[in-house]
Amino acid sequence: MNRLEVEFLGVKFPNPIVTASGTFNFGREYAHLYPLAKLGAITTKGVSPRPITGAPTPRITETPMGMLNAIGLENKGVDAYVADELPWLKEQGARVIVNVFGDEPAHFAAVATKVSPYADLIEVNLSCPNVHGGNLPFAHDPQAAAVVLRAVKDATDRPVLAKLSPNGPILPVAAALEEAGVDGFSLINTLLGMRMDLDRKRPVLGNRQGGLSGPAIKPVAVRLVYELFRNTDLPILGMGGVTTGEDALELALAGARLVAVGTATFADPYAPLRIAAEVDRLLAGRGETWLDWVGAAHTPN
Amino acid sequence: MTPQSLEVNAERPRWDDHELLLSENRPLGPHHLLRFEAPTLASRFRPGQFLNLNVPGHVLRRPLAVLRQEGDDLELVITPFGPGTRDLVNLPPGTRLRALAPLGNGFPAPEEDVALVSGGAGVAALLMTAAAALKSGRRVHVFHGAPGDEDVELIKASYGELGLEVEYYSEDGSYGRAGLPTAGLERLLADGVAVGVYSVGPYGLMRAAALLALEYDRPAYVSLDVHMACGVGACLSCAVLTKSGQKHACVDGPVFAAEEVVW
Repeated sequence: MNRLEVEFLGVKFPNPIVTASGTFNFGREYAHLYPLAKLGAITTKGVSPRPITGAPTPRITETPMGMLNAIGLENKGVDAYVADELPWLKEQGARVIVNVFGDEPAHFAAVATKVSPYADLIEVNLSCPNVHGGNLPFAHDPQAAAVVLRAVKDATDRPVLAKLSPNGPILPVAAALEEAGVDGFSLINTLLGMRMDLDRKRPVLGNRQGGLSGPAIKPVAVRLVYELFRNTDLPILGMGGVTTGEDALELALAGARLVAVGTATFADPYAPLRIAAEVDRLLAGRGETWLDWVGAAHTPN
Repeated sequence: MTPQSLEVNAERPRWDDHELLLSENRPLGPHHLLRFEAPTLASRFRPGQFLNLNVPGHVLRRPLAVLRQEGDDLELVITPFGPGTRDLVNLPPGTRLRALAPLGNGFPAPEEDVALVSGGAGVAALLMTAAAALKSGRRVHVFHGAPGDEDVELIKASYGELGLEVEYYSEDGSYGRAGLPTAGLERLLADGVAVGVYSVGPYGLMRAAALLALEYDRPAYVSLDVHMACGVGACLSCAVLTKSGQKHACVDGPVFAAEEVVW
């Protein structure tokens, strides 16, 4: 029996561990290590209508048990990915979650339409902290987020996840998105942070501030997934600092039906598969399945 | 791989995650020379390639040039700089680490005599090129710079082992010649000596060496050290602006031709 198998918005995943957007590009860099179809799914790097060169360097720096990044959503634009990477990725037999974004609702929608033939799910990036011309991300404003979500829903027949920000109000935004017809949620995006360079007496990152990820943010992710699960019946893709099978099970208890691994993959390209194997061993020892754990922290004692 | 792929070039190395056993850790002035047993990586590195080394207790690996490889052994030079490198140089022999390797493109093989312009641990990225040049009968001119005399031991343990004479420049005049190593390069180029220029060190040094080489119409290569997380082309941290667009130091470099880089 496959104790890790999980269905999520009509898509069957062999295991619940997927890659997080921006940490696995489109998979090609890792395809010589293992068949990409062995992953629960690949969430692609964020795709925008046109190419984006991204933020000035340095774009990353390590912090205690974490890292800050400000890549600035560098990507080649949707047409390049539809021409090459996405068809290739589907040929690998991988399940694909395409992360889409834009500057305005129509841009999100245009990207969603173009990537839909290759997407099992669409993840709408409402919450990248590093761009947006100084404006607040859409995920900070319930009505703005709902307008984007409606535009994407109208543009695709695929299930749509909204990626939520821990830097703004989660529950009011989630409620507005649910009202607008979202199919599920993914969270958390990175936490805004900054690190100083003592020699230059300036922020380390070229973008000055960046998104904090890694084990340091895991407790925040567990709390926010837990809070959201109490307030929605929609399925949740949880992420934030997951590095071990135990971490993934913590997020499952809080309410995550799928779990994404991000920063851990930078240090260990095998991390998503290793974590799935660790979860499998932990469950086997207890005679339980993944689904036994999803949201189990919410059941009455 | 689709032939029109923008993402991966067939020339790129088939890297994997390898185990390394730290067999020796000795200080060389402010630097440390770390020697590892890495049988699965024997003879895998071309000059100028690097590995991405894990540091116990740290979230990210550290990209480091390989100084030397002999059989199953490989050596790195590490300069304590931040928390990660400080922890690395304190590791005792017997420690097992992991490295993504081999990574990056490496330097092209020298087709003529060479001039090496280095600063600090930049020596590590150049030594295999020096050895290759000597083996193919090329003359190797070495110009090394440091703030003071702190790189003397490093020079002996690297260029010195190849029998190379080093023109050492110290900014404070405490050892060798006072000034910057680009002064030596400029004198060589002004004398009309036909060399390929290879420079690794602080950005300002590489830029100055590259611009001198371009001024004298000599081929030049630099190894750009840009903050990177994955080391393999996925995170897009290590952006480098080139005349043919934005590239990434981990997979398109770290070695770039001087005329390609937008300085």
